[in-house]
Amino acid sequence: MAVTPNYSWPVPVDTDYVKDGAEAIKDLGDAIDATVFGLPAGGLTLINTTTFSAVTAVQVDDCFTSTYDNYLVLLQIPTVSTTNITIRCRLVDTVTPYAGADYEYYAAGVLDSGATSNLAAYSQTSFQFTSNNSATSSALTLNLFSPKLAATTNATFNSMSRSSAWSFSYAGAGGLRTSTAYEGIQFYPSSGNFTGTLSIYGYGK
Amino acid sequence: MAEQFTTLISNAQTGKTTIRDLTADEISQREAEAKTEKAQVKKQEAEATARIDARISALAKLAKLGLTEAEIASL
Repeated sequence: MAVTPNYSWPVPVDTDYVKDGAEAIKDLGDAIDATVFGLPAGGLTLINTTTFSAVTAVQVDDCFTSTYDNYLVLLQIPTVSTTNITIRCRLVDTVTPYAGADYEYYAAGVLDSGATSNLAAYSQTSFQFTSNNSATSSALTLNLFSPKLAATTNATFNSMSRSSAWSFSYAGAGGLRTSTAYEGIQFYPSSGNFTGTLSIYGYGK
Repeated sequence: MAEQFTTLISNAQTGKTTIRDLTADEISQREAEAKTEKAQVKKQEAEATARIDARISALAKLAKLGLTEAEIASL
């Protein structure tokens, strides 16, 4: 019996008997199974998808754990009930959204006309990743870096939103400057209610 | 009809979903934020409109100077 060069899986040698082939295949299969089962999952892993309809906030608890360091958050909002509002975001400490004035965000914005409209704010009580959402669809991709660590959580984001007059796209970054570990995330419209889908993925370490 | 203030809460570990009403403090905070933001959004829309108007005006002035559309676009 020989072994493969990388994982040392058992394989027959050229002179082994064919009658022993079934057992050799079984041993090889078992070894591969044991190796593959123990491999860490790479890429993105879906942690949670929440769909919501006509609520004033959506919150996912216990989505940030020690399993992952960094997270991808996708938010799709087909409808909001009030025109020209923004979508706000807070990180959740255990089950309570953190509302201290420690959020900051900076983004380059471009309107459908080609004009610019930047976002820049610090010492805020929530993140703002979109602007002037209206009754038409908007979407956000958000990367969160180590929210579960008791240190500043950094974020990068891209968003698309539409007001009653303009379309806005933003590419930016932000942070929550506290020394708290956060377990969850909350989104809410600044006024009225919203409908959509929130998905959270963990990046493989 | 009065607006309903509800939060949908999903637990990623258990998969359990609950809905709770916002507390009076949360509603007050939200209303204060909305008031501030309304002014901010209005300002942003006005700035965006002003930028567009300024651009249209600038393009018209350049055209009066004799620049072609291609020349203006190359600026």
